[in-house]
Parts: sequence; structure tokens; C-alpha cells
Amino acid sequence: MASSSIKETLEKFDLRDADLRRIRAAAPMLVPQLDDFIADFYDWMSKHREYQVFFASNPTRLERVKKLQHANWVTFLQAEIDESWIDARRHVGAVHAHIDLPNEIYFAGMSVSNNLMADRIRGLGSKVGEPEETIKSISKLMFLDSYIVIEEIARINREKISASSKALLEMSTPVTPIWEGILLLPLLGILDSHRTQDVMSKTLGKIAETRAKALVLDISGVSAMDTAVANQLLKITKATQLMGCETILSGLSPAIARTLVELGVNIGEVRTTATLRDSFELALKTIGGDRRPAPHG
Amino acid sequence: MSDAAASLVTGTRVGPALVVTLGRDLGGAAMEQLTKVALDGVQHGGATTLIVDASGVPFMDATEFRGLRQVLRMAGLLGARTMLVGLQPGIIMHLMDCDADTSGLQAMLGLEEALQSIDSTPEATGA
Repeated sequence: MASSSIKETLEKFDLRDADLRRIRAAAPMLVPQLDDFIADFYDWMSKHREYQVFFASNPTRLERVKKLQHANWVTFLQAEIDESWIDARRHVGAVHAHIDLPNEIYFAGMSVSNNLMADRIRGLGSKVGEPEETIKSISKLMFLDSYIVIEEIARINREKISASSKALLEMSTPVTPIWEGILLLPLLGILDSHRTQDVMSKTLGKIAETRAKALVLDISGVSAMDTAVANQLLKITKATQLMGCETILSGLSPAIARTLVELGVNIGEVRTTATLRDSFELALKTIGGDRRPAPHG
Repeated sequence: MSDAAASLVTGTRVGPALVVTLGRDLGGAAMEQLTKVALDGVQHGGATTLIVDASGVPFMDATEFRGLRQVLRMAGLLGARTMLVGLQPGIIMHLMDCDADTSGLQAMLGLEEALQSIDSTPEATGA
């Protein structure tokens, strides 16, 4: 967040200089009470299930978190809203995202903190110039604090989702060199014409890249076999042959063999085996029995 | 051989093989030139293997592919072993879409692989 946008955000939250000044003025009286404040907070939290989940089995964690929380509230009350103040809140968000803290307990905790802070300010009475105004100012700052934390949690979750969907897409066609000159492609799920295009383009690209002479296509994970699927498999086989790469189908189950014969599917000269082991042996023969494993990397 | 036609298709003798390199364009003139260079090389030049290198061809449709296969079949009838090398993945995907007939065609990834494969045959090694 650049300094200009910090200013914009402060305006949106209606946090004016006067608010920050009030908080800073109250800070020297509130900081000495932080230990009590945090103790009250954990009194409240210990009544909830999340306390058991996160702290019951690990008392040292509780002590560490209390210390971090103390430091966090000190910087909160200093109310110097700059890049480092925001980064500190983002860090809190990152930690919460990491432990998968439910938003419910986080917001409930912030609400309780707000009330506990207000009680303390009221307790200080006339020592604080304008107690009710100070309470309002602190509320506003707490909303800003929570917003930054939740925004960071949401950002991290979005990243997690996009990373996992990318991984899923990659995983659907994992063409892997398993030996010098041999590629392995385990096919899973449904093989339609769209998927065949994807498989074909990735496989042909990989053949050009690795100069492979044999492709072992393991179809033991293909969920259904019919004429259409067999045709798609034949297409892949023909395509790789045009690049000088022999395709060996492995993982044909008795059920699939039966289906293919009963449907009258002619799979031509494609070499097929029941097990991956047999396919690998055939592939080794195809590349000339060279027994060098695939280079790393 | 006119200069214009010569630039479409080039024949190079490598040991017992005749390597015919295709240019970017596979039009009628190029196909005729290919037929002439390939068949002359096999019949009069004594080449026992015909290698057609298509690595410089960016696009090829099913008709051009059929034409190419006819030339390979003709050379086959003259007793030569025939190979097609260097087809781009994009062309292959297009040919598969068109259900092009590829049966009996021997293809290799590149010229290097093709030359290696004829080097390892008994005839070439003299064994």
C-alpha cells in the first residue's frame, strides 16, 4: 500500500488526525494495562472451542502468542499508520491464514477486544481527555486493523486456490520422462475429444523436447472404454508415430480387452500389454535396450 | 532444373540415402519437383533410402500430406525404404483432426534419428 493509498484508506475509515492523536494520548495510560487486558481476553477465549484447538495442548504457544499480542497492541496504540504498521497487520493475517483460524472467532475476538478496551478507557475516567471520543477513535482503528488482517487472509486463500487448480490441470496430463528415450503418461478419468487434444499437444511437445522414441500410455485409470475412447487412443498413437515415437498401451484390463473385442474395435498395429512392467520392457526394446535412466531435472 | 523450382525442394545424398528437404511452400510446383528429385535419386542415383525432411514446412493440409505420401509410395515401389522426418506437432494435430491416413508410414522426429536408423541396419554397416 503506497502512502497515498494509506491516506485514502484512512479517509474511507473516517480516521482523522484527531482520532489518531486521541489514541496516541491515551496510549501511555493503556499500555501498562495491556497485560490485564490480554489476560481478560484469554479468559473469554478459554470458554470457546477454538481455545482447546489452538492452545490446550501447547501452553508455550499460548505464552508466545500473548507476547506477540502485547507487542501488536503496543504498536496499535502508537497509531503511527505507515507501511510498517500495515505490514505488521498483514503478518497477523498471514499467521491466521496459516493456522486456518475461523473468521467467526477472529471477528468475535476483535469485538471483545474493542469492548475490553472501551471498559478500560471508561475506567480511566477524566485522566483521558475525552473518553467517549477516544473509544470511538479506537473502534475505527480496530475496524481498519481487522480489515487489513482479513484482506490478507482472503488474498492467501485465493493464492492457495489458484495454485491448487493449476496443479490439478498439470496433473491431468503428466507426461514424464522415465528413461532416456521413454515417456510415461498415465491417463486418468474420462478421455473425450477435448482431453485428447490436450494430451496430444502436451505429448507431441514433450516428444520434440526429449526426443523420446517410446511412449508408454497407461490406461488402467481410464474410467470407461468404448469405441469413441478407443478412437481417441488410436489418434494419440498415430500422432506420436508421425514423430517417430512408438506408443505402447499398458494397463489393459480383461474387462477392457473384452469390451474392445465385443465392440469390434480394431486397434490396428498398436502394441498393448496388460501391465506397466511389460510395456516398459517393450519400450526398452524399442529404444534399443539402452539402460540409462532419464537424466535428472 | 529452373532456379525457382530448385529453391522449393533440395536433394542431398548422404551415404546410401537421399535426403530431400522441403521448402516452406508445398504447392503443385514443389510437389512435382519433389517427385522428380526423389524418383530420379532412387532410380538413377542408386539411393536405397529416401528421407523426406519436412522440418521447414510450417503448414501442411491433408491434400498436401496425401501428395507427399504418394511420392513416398512411388519411391517404395522402386524398392527404396522411405521415411518422413521433422513434422511439426501442429501439423500432426491438424492431420489427426482430418483423420489423415498414416498407415504404413515410417516417420522419425528428425534427420539425425533417421540417419542413425539407416546406419544401424545390416546393409549400411556392411555386416
